[in-house]
Amino acid sequence: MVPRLRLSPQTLQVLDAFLEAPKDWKYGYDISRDTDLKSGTLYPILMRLADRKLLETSWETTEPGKPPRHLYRLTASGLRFAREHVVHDVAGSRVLDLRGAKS
Amino acid sequence: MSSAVRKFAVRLLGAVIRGSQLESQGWGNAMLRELDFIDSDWASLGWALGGATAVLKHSLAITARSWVREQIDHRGEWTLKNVGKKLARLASGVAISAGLLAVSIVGVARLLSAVISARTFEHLHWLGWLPILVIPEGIFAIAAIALWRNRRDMARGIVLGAVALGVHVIVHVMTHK
Repeated sequence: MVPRLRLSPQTLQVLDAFLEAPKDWKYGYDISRDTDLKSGTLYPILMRLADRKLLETSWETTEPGKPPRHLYRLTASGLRFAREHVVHDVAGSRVLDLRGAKS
Repeated sequence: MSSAVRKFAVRLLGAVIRGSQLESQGWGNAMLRELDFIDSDWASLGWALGGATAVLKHSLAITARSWVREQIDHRGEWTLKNVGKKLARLASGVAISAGLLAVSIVGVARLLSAVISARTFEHLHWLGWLPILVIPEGIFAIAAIALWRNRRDMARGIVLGAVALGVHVIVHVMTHK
């Protein structure tokens, strides 16, 4: 059972971005560009998803001497949750919430 | 090479992260690191501002949650006797602030009038704010900080006195323009 999560159009956008390549880890800035969401909107959504165990996070160290970079991916329950709530219309562009929330 | 705007963005977000709760710092550092991958300097500033807001909100939510938990854990302290003690300490803080205000008004005003002639005082009428507002508020702030750790209720009373004085002065200035 997933703790209650407010499904705003922006949350659905983020879930949709993860559904494009569900197994891939994503960077915050890339999600921001994919969804057109600013950091002040995007990160609270990521924090809420992570709090509810719908999102897993990881630190990636690529360049020596540089701080690690944070990565995000939906968990198995997050993936189920996203698939339950996000569907596309025929054109494949609009995100809809099956329970009624609309972007 | 970093521009001044980008440097400011990094410093701003870094400062907010350092001042936030430990649980929020990981998220803050994640946003800080992303700044390296944003091409435009102004976009990086926008990112830092949004990030700082997100970290602050997250940190405040954690603080509020832990405060509520603390209150629930210590709800046994809210007996009639303890509430009475707390109120007495609070009242003593208010009384101290009222006493300090009276001493400041009488003492400093007399001192000023003794040192400065009446004619000079007319030109320096802003000096009148010293004993009424500036000095008492300064003393209140110092006293509240000094007492906060060991005599918190008394410190709260002093803060209450300081706020009441501030509000009184604002209302007075607004209505006597």
